[in-house]
Formats: sequence, structure tokens, C-alpha cells
Amino acid sequence: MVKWWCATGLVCRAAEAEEQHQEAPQEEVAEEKAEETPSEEEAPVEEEEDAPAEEEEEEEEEEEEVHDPKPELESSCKPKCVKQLLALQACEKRVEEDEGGEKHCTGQYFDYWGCVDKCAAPKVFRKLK
Amino acid sequence: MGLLGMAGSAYADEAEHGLAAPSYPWANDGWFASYDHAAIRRGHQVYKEVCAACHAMSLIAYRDLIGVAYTELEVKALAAEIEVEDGPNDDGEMFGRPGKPADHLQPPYANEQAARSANGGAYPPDLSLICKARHNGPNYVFALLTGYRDAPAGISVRQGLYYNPYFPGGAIAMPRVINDGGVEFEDGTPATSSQMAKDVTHYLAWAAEPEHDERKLIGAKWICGALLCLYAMGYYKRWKWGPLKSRRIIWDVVN
Repeated sequence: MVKWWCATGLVCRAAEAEEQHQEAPQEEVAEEKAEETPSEEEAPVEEEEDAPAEEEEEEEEEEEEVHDPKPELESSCKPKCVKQLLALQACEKRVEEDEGGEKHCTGQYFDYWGCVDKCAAPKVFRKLK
Repeated sequence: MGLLGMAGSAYADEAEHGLAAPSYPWANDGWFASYDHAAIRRGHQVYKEVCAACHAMSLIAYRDLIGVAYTELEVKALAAEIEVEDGPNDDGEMFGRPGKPADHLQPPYANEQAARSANGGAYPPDLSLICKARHNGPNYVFALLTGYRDAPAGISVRQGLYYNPYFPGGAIAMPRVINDGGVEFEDGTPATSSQMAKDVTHYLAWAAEPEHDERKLIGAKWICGALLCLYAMGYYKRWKWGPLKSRRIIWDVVN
């Protein structure tokens, strides 16, 4: 969603993200054209070399594997939440060694994921339309 | 959730309330921001293809979508896809007919008992007002849909339930339904699970507060007008009181 102030020329991250989104498909179109012209002109030997590359591109276009940005962003936030992560890992170790079956790590889990969420939340939407 | 010892009683509250959802930067955040109607359209598609199998939205009529996510012709076509029970006819019988824009979105189950029996005893709530019915609604819904994770060490949920830290108690009857590529958007947006969750949450936010755009418009106009009035009234008061406040009173001796 482009906010109203983007039109005034002020710095606008949403507009930049849209530009990047438009650049990516244009790059793909340019690559296709570059591959088509050599394969038409060159000998069959070179066509074979180009064929796997073209096949790969065709496969990419047919099976567009959508890549969810959220898990990546969450793992990129790990460095900011190291303290909580170490506490969680220490707790997991204690629970593993526990015989009573009553210990659990909900508190440390919430602390860690709360920290990761707070770090990742502003970033997730920038990667989405 | 497992019994907790005395020292653990404080921690019981955490799981009970669920992990607090973070604040996501929604398109309609802010005093002057409206809904992202393209997202509402995509979100309705996600609801229809993924969520409507279990969740009703009985308070929303097809005509509510006109001018919000679809044109009138599109809404008529959407409504006509479903069959609605109407009647009784002159013979006293109920009959089926294609839907009209005035019809409400049809629930997947005839009643709550049928819904519970089809979902292991759990009732998939009606989503018409879910964003107002849950604390921090849109953030909660988005976090819930994308927040299915492995349970922390020491926590296990029984067969038939799934762990979700945002759900109060942690054990939710709904499995993860929003997965990458689950829906094909007609505008070509890549259907990642975050995208689908964001759009369906935006759609649910609209469903709970359809007056939102108009409310903010009216609010902006009236607050602007009120500020002008405030200025005018202040000026008028100062103008009327000016002579009084600037008079001189002379006390003199009476001879």
C-alpha cells in the first residue's frame, strides 16, 4: 500500500519496494531475449549448450516456487535475540535431563519468540505486496 | 498443558494468555490511511478457497463487497455460483435457487453441533467480527495464521490439537492451513503464506469494520472543521471581551 506522502517526493520505502518488484520481471525478460538471439544464430552444438539453461528458465517460469520471506526474516533476527535464545537452549537441556516430566520452557520460548517477532514484524510487510 | 509445580504457577499465565502478537505495519494504520482494497479482494479469495470450508461469515452479504473488493457484476457472478435455500413456494416446499447479492455468505455447517462434530468437538468461530472479538485483532490473526511452530521442550499437545504460541493455552484445534502456493491470485501476486495471511487478515479487518474508510474521512473533515470553529470562537470571545479587559477603573476621593 503506497502511503499518501509518497506522491510528495519524500523518501518512501513502499515506492522503492515497488520499483524493485518491477525491476525483477524486466530483468527476466532481458535474460530471455539475450538467450534467444544467440541460439537462433549459432550452430546446433551451441544450441545444446543453451538448451539446459533455457530449460531451467522454463522450469522456473512454470513451477514458480513461492518463497515465504517470514522464516528467513525470523532467522535473520536471531543475532538480536541471542540472550533469549541461549536461555531457551539452556532450559531445553534442563528439561531433557529432567525425569519428572513437569518442567517446560514456555517462559523462555515466549521471551525468545517475542523478541524475534518484535524484530521481524516491521520487515515482513515490506517484502509483501 | 501438564501440571505445574508451585514455582511454576506464575508461568501458567503466560501460556494461558498466549504470546502477545507484535504490531505489524498494516496499510490502514494511521489517521488518514484507508484499507488496501486490492488486499481485501485477494483476502476474500483466500477466505473463499481456504477458510470457508470450516468458517462461516454469516453477517457479510455479497452486496457488501460491491465497491470494496468487486464490481456489481462480479458480485452478481460470485453470488450466483452458490445455491441458496429459499421458500416456501406456493406448494409449501423449500427450494434451492442461485444466490443473489442480497444473500449472506453461506455457512459451511447447518449449525454449531454439526460444526463441532465435523471438527473433533471444536467450533470454528464465525469470522465476521473476529478482528474486533479478539484483543489486538488483526495482529493476533496474522500472528496466529503464520505462527505454527514446534512446541517448546516439555510441552506436548494431545492428538488432534496443534501447538500455536499465540493461541490462549497454546493448543489449537485448527491445523496450519495457510501454506505457500495454496491459492493462485488473479493479479499475479506470489502466494506465499505470509502474503495470503496478510491479505485474509486485511479482509477480516474490513469485515469487522466496514465503516472504517468512511469513518476516517468523516473524522478528518469534522475535526478540521472543529479546529476552524475553535479558532473562530476564540477570536470572537477575545473580540467581545476586549473592551472589558482593557478598561481602566479610576478610584477617586469623594469630596
